[in-house]
Formats: sequence, C-alpha cells, structure tokens
Amino acid sequence: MGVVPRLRSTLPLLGWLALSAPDARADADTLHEGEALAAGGRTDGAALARAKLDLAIVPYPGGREMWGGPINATRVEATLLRRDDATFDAEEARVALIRWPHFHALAVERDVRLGTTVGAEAFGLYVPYVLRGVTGSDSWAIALLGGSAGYRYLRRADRARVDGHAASVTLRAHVDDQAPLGSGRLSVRGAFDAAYTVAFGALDGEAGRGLVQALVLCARGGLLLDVSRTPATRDVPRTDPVTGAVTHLRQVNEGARWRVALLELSLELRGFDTLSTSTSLAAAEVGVVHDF
Amino acid sequence: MISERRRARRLSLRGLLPLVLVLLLTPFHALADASPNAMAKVPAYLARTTPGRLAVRQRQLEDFVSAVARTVPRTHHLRDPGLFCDRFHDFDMQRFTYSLWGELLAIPRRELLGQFARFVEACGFSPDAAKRAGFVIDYLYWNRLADTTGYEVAEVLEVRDAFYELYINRLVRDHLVTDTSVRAAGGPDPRTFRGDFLDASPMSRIRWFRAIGSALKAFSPNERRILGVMIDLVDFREGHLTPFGGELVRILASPDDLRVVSETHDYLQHVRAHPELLAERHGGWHRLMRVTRGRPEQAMRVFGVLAALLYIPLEDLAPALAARGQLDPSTAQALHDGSLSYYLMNELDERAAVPSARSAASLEYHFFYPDGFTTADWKWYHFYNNAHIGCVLRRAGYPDDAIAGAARLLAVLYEGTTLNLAIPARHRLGLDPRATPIVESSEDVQLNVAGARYGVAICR
Repeated sequence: MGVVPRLRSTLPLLGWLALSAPDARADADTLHEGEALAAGGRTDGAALARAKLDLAIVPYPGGREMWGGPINATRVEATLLRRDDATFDAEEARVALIRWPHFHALAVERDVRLGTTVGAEAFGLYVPYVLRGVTGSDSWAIALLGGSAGYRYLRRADRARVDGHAASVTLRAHVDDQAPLGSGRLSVRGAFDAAYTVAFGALDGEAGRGLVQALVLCARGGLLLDVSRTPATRDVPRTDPVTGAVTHLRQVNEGARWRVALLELSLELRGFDTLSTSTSLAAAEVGVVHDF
Repeated sequence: MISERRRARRLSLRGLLPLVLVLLLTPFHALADASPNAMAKVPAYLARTTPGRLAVRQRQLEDFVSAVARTVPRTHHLRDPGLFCDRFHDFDMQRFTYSLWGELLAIPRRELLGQFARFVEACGFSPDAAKRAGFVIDYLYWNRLADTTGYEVAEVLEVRDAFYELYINRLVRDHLVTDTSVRAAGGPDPRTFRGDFLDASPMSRIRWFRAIGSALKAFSPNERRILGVMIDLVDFREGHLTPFGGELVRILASPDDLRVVSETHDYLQHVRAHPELLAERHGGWHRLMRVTRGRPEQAMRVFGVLAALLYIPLEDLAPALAARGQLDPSTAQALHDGSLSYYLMNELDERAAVPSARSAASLEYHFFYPDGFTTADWKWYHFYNNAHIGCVLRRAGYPDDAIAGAARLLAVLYEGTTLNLAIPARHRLGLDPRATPIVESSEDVQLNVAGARYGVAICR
C-alpha cells in the first residue's frame, strides 16, 4: 500500500482528533510501553517538559515458585512547567505501581490540571475494545472504557475551586491509535481521552457536603520518525506446499524502538468544571520515545 | 435514494438465496465426492495401542531429532542441564522465564532448533526435555517469532511436533505398562487413585466465575443462566488442569468417537506426506465430514474437547484409567491421537493457509474450517470448542443471541485472565506487553463467538 492511500485512511482520524481535543492526560494511559521525553509550549504561555518511564519491577503474585519474573506494570511520569513569570511547577506527576491496560492499582499522583495537590488511585477497571488492527500489524486502534476510584487533596493554591479532602471517581473513554505512513519509518499516533471526574467529601470545611466535577476532553496527534538501527518490519517467507512458490508476509518487529516525535499537537477542552480553574488549551511538543 | 439502496440490497440477498438453498440441500456426499481430501485413500498408520508398537515410532522420532541436532555445531552447553532434563510442568515456563529462558535466548536464534534437539538428545530423549523444547518453540510461535529461527513457520512446527510426539508417545507407553501391571496384580488398589482426575471433587474456585456471572446484571437473564450451564459443562476438577471431564469420559466410552479420532490421526499423518492435498480449500474439513459421515457436531465435539486440550487430558486421564486397569488399547490410542491432533491440525493449517487479503501481516486459515468460513487467527481450537458448546446450549433450548453473548462473556473473562500470564515471557522476549496481546485477545474472542454461532447453526 502506498503513502497516499494510507494518508487518506488516516485523515479522518486526524480530523476527528483535531475536532475533539489533547494535554498530558490524553496519553496518561497510553498503551505504548516504554520511555519518553518531550518538550514544548502551550497556548497559556507555559513551556513544558514531560518524561515517562515504564518499569518492570513488581514481582508476579505467587512468588518465585510460581512466576519467575516481574510484571510490566509500573509507570512513572511527570510534567514540569515553566510559566511566563519564570516560576516552575510540577503540574503533573504519577507513580502507578500496577498499570495494566485493564486493571490499575495503587497509584500516587499530583494533577494540578484537576486541582489535585496530591491524590491516590486505589484501583481502576477498564475493558479494551479493538477498533482496528490485526495481530502482527503495526497499525491499530484500541479503546479502553472504564473507571477508577481514589482520593484527592484539593487546594486553591493548586488551581482547585475548593479546598479539602475528597473521594473521587473518574469514568473514562480512551483511544490509542497508530498507523505507519507508507512502507517507510514515518508513523502517526493519536490519542483521545474523555474523562468525567466527580469528587465529593470535606470541601471548604463542610464535611460530607461538597461535590465538584469536571469533564475533560483531550486529544493528541503526533508524527514520529523511527530512527532505530534495525528495520521496523521483516518479511516472513512461506513456500506454497504444492507449487513451491515463495511469498512473504510483512510482520512488525515488535521490540522497543527509538523514535523522534517530530511534532505532537494536543488540545484540551473542559466542561462542567467545578473542580478546577484550569482552562482549555493547546500545546505543541517535540521529543524522543523508546517504546513498543 | 434510500429506497433504491434497500431494493438493491434485497435484490442482492435474493440473488444469494438460491446459492444458500443449494448449499443446504446438496447432500454432503455430493460435495465430498469432489474433494480430493475426502476421497484420499489413507493407509492405516502404525498402531499406537501397545508399548512395543509405540517404541517403534519412538525410534523413528529419535532419529528425526538426532538429524536436526546434527545441523548445528556442538558449541552451546547449558550451565545446568538438569533444568532442561528435569520434570516439566506447564507452569515451569513462567517459573523459569528469567533463569532458563535467559540462557536459551542467548543461543543464536538460527541455531535454536538444532540446539534444542541436541539438548533433548543429551537428556536421553526424556519426555520432559522433549516437552520443554516443544513448549519453548510454542512460545516463539505464539509470539510470531518462529521464523526468526531461520526456518519457515510450518517447518518449525514440524520440529515442535516431533518433540511433543516424543512426549506423548512415552506417556502413553508408560501408562500402558502400568495398566498391564495393575491387571496382572488382579485389580486396582483404591489407595493409588485417591484424588486423581476421576476421583476429584469439583473445583472450589469455580464459584468465583459463577459469582461474576450472576453479578453482571447488564446481561440478560438467559445469558446468566447459560453462563451457569457453560460452567457446569466445563466441569473443572480440584487439583487438575483438565476441563470437560464428563465430556471426555463420554468420548472415550464411544466406539464411534474413538474411530473418528483414530481415522483422523491417520489422515493427518497422510497429509504430511502428501502436501498436494493442502491445495484444496477447506480440504481438512471435507475429510472430517467424510470421517464423521456428515456430522459436523461430532467433529466439533470430539476435536473441540479431546484435541483442543492438547496433552492435558492424556496427563490426567491416562494415569487415572491405568491405575484402575481400564486403559484399553483403543482408549490409549485415542488419548495419544487426540493429543497429537492438536499439533498436527495446527501444523497443517499453517502450511495450507494463504496470504490474507485483509492485511499483509496476516494469513487466512481455511483448511479445517467449514466451507465459507476463514479466519486470520491460527487458534482453531477456539472455534471447535465453542461450536461444541454452542451446539449443546442450542439443543438445551437457549436462544441464539444469548448463546453468542454468553460465549463472548466467557471468552472475555478467559482472555482477561490469560492476558496477564503472557507479560513476563513477552517482557523476557522483548515484545510489546500491552497493545499486541489486546489485539490478539480480541481476535480470539471473535473466533470464540464465530464458533458458538456455528455450533448453534448446525444444531437447530
């Protein structure tokens, strides 16, 4: 398949991403496992730097008698801001001990975009749906639908509308998408995230009476260049058992690869937001990723 | 415009109607007569009924493995050969993911098959070493790495199947010997089979599945009831991996089912020697229909239960039957053939598959599927097993959509559980642990549902 048909099939996705919206939340649950570094600017005048690191450090339940290895699950990520007034802020930071696609548990986080000075995700459950893709291909789109529950410490100083301690529930629809462009090393990635968060508890000193909410729509689209030494795909030969003719399948080399994010654009829209004073914004970033 | 489209759709459906009627009304033998696979004259294969005959086959397999071993230099040695030769449990691959796998994966990939053959040879062709070699090759195959050994995928599966056949052959032989000694001793000693597969109680943990099923209020009452029936059918027993215990016992008690298993095994071995038969679309299915005398529900039941479970029924049932002096030659042969059929069907299906029109990364598997059905998923057992379950539920009177819905739910629960089991191995192999397993699980769920729908269709 040439570049033009692939671009054509990708255009509706990019259009949809542009119409919906991005921010760091949009890739917070990305299915791309690995490491990432990015830097860029936002429409609110802030410069940002982001880092993400996926670790395999948690031993499998059951111990070494049952499982001889760790599970891939732990994610550490942070976004550092430099504002117009030259002040710095760790706007978002998260250490999630278990972060499987369909099950999250035991995360500590800071998320100023949601007015949260510090919070904890107790657990999250998600059901994945494959929207597009076949095994062995590097072109796929996967949706995750579900929700999580946890605790938030809200502070006006960190852009919350109220101060206090709150239990929170977030319902989320998330889509990750990637598609190669032509047969070369360029690819596009997109992410869409719609999250409705409701927090309730002792807000502004009134125990059990407060309830705040926010609907956040985020979207991110990126153009990436694979700079790994080895080819991204390989030809798998097959000999016809009758004619002896050899044909080839083109399958992806699944290992972690180095990619340069030539440009990532993101947009975040907010609605019904009584939780934070954050505003809608857009961002542009460049970066480097080493992931699957 | 809309009405024109509707009319066009109606016309196109009307155009298909005669074809559907022809397919439904054409007697099976009319189709089978045109099928080279159905009509192939298959000679009786070397019997698998006595230790002596199994030993003859064992020597053939050992010669094959030794020939593979001679293709590589004798340069790689395991630090602890005991790890390779010792008793092998299915969970050992997870247990030794880092210790043993690290060493095995350090071997140049293009020497791997030959080095495995060397290790198995060095272990005196021990069944556990052979099973371990087969299991590691399976991991490469499951993760689409078989071709990285330098051989084509189907060739890798041929070597894998030799390892597994060594294991299966030896297991059957040993249990036949035990059976003979039990009979010679004048009968079984009940103390020897306490807690074995035929004596085990229902698995206590299965109540969690029931609880999940009944808690899911989003599903229809019929789907919840069906889930309960499916759990009964699966019949897990405490301390054993083998599901479908009751079904397995009934298959082994049916002379006609034993005939189907045995004749199909001989056919599968025949096709290996006559690859021209693989050129026929759905050829293996045509043969199955001839062997079962046009009863697809029998094919789905026998192969969806006995063969779909690999060697696991053999591991649980053969010792239990031998301890009771009830491992008849025909039963032993059926357990042998059922175990091996899983691998042979997979090997032949892989060889016969054609490049998919849907994706340059996929194959279209057709050989053992009914006419008109193909899939990009190699796991034929999902289709067969769910077709059998769908058939049972349809005959019990449940509605079609509820059966498909329950099959989907059970598949999602299964895939959601097993998704995580793949993580350590995929991590060790340096493979994507998140997105790819999700895509693959989704394909498996779809194949399960397609199987269930087929089972419903053939058992109205």
